[in-house]
Order: sequence, then C-alpha cells, then structure tokens
Amino acid sequence: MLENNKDYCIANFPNPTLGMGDEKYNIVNYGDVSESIPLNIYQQGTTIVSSLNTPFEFIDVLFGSIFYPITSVTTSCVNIDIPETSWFLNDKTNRTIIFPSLKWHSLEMTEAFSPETEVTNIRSYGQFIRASQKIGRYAKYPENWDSYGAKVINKDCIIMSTKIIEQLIDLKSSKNFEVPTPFVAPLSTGGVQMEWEHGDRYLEISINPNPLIVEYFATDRPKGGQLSLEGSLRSLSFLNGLIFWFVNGTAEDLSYISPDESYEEWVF
Amino acid sequence: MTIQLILDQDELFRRILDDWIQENGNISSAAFQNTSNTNDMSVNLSRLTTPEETVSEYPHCGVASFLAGFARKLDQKVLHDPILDNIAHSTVRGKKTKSIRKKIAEGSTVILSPSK
Repeated sequence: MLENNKDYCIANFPNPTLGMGDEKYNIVNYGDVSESIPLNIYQQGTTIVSSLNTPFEFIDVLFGSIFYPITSVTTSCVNIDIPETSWFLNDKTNRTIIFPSLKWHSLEMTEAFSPETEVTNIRSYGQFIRASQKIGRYAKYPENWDSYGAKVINKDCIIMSTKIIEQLIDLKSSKNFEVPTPFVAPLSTGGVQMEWEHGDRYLEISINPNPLIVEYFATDRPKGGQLSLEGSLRSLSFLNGLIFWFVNGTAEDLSYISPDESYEEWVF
Repeated sequence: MTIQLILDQDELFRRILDDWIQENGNISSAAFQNTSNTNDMSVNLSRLTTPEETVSEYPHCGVASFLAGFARKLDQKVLHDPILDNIAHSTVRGKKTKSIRKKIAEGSTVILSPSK
C-alpha cells in the first residue's frame, strides 16, 4: 500500500479526506466503498461511476472540480477546487488525487511502493473524460427526450459505456497507442452509441439495454466494393482488435478480424 | 384526412438533437432509429409542413432532411401516416440495420440546426 512521503501524505483511508490549502499539495484520498453507496451518481453535469472494485472514475477536467460520493445521492457530493494540473494514482483498490504540481520523479517514487500503481497524466486524456462526462449527462434525460418517445437512457448502459471509455484509456496508456476519441450519442432505445469515422472507414459500438448487449459495426470500402462486419462484442481483446484495425488496418484486414470468444476475456 | 402518395423526390423531415451532430457537421446514425419495438421511424412529409412547424413543440430540436426515394433504395417503405395533430406525419417502415441507419445518416442534410 502507498506510504507517507515527505512531499505528500497518502493514507489507506476508508473515508475521503482533503488536504487543506496551506499544505504544499492538496490530496484527496478515498478507499473502500461501502455497498450503501449507489453505483452511479450524477450531479451538476458530471459523472461518478463507482463500484466495489473501483470506488469511482471521475475527474472533471473541464470545470476543474472533483466530485466524490460520501453517503447518498442527495448529499454525497463535495466540490473540491482543483488547480490547473492534477495527477491521478490508481492502485486498483484505493485512489489518490494529488495536485497541483507534483513532479514526475515524485510519482515514480510512489509507484515503487505499489507495483500495480498506474500514474496517468489526466490532461492527455481530456477528450476521453469529456466523452465520459457526456455519457453521464444522458442519465438526466427524461422519457421522450428525442421527441419521438425515446426511453430513459439505461444506467447499466451508461456504466458499460464508461467502462469501454476506461478500456480505451487503458489501451492508449498501456500500448502507447494513439486511440482516437469516439463520438458518443444517446440511442432512443435507451442505449449509448460510440462512433469513429475516418474517410470511408467507420466503426460503431452500441451498448443496448434489456438485455445489456454490446454490438459492433465496422465498414470500409476496399477497391470497388464495401466490406462490413457486425455482431456482438464480447471481449476486450476483440474491442482492442477493432480499434487497432480502425487506426492501422487496411480495408481488407476487416475480413480477417474474428471475434476472440475465449471464456477468460468475456466481459461484455 | 386524405392519404397522400409520397413520391421519390419528396423530402422527409426528421427531428434531430445536438447530441447527434458531430463536430464536422455530420449526423450520427443514432438519429435514425425505429421507435422502440416497431419497424417504424416517424418523419414529416415536407410538402405538408415546414421545418419550423416540425419543431414547434420541440424548440430544442433541429431538422434533418432526406429523400423518400433514397429511403426506398434502402428497402424501406415510405408511407403517409397522418395523425390527429400532424397531417404531415409519415412513416419510414422497415428494419433499420446499423448499415441502413448509417446510410440514411449519410444521405441526410441538416436544414435546421438544433439548439446546443
């Protein structure tokens, strides 16, 4: 577990705490989340997605604030002013946000205390975070939000969508791979759609409710024709494969993509 | 109400939201889904209404337009289907696969922008 350091204090603390302004760095710690905390909290146009394994995934880069759950939907959010630069440490079970100007070498020191710690510069993922926030806002859409009788956006679809965004961020950071940010859109069936498009190349992932299912549609135009592939998306590796194809593949490569349905990787 | 014959060159209006407009101005295929549990997508027959009238009760919406003949080429039936408050109401009937929705999106033009 992370330990104290002369420049900042990180504690395995079950309740959120906030380092005050007269300290060198402001620190937010949060650890285990009790089952009473709702899985999703949407407030002030921002999204908090939490689970027992992942306390929450939320940083509001646009508006410079952090919101996190304490007790309930109505009283659970505390607004913390966050300076210009922030760093996010993730050791899988506990999260710590440190700001404003921690240097990279300091972060490497923290990594030494916990081999699983991932250090991410939030700034480089701003577009993904904005996409995630946009998805979170769909939770507020009332029935008939599209004027044609649309259903309320299903919360499981929102959670799944943010997980996919998270997976894209992981792919981007772990493979140092330039993953384009998807265009996200609500579906009148209560689902969420993600789209990537470049020239004739198009990739769409839709997250549909009742039952929750993730589907893909990929299409491209090789010489003199059109190739399309669609089906259910069941594994992270296949999602990664589709993204790799979209970024680096050829139109013909689409015909060689096949779903990897190994049991271990089934996540959707 | 008289049922009109919809010609291939008739324009159809579909209300759209800002959420469905991409940065480059393209419309997302998400805008062209059938009503849940049906094979029908509601539109207005342009010659019986205006874009402004189409969104009069939904001021946050914009309007996209596409040709009836274009939809028919995608194996859709286009039928005038007037309802009590909307004589222009029409239906684009048929399964909207992802491919078909994408093609309708590509064949549509924003003629009235939705509010942000």
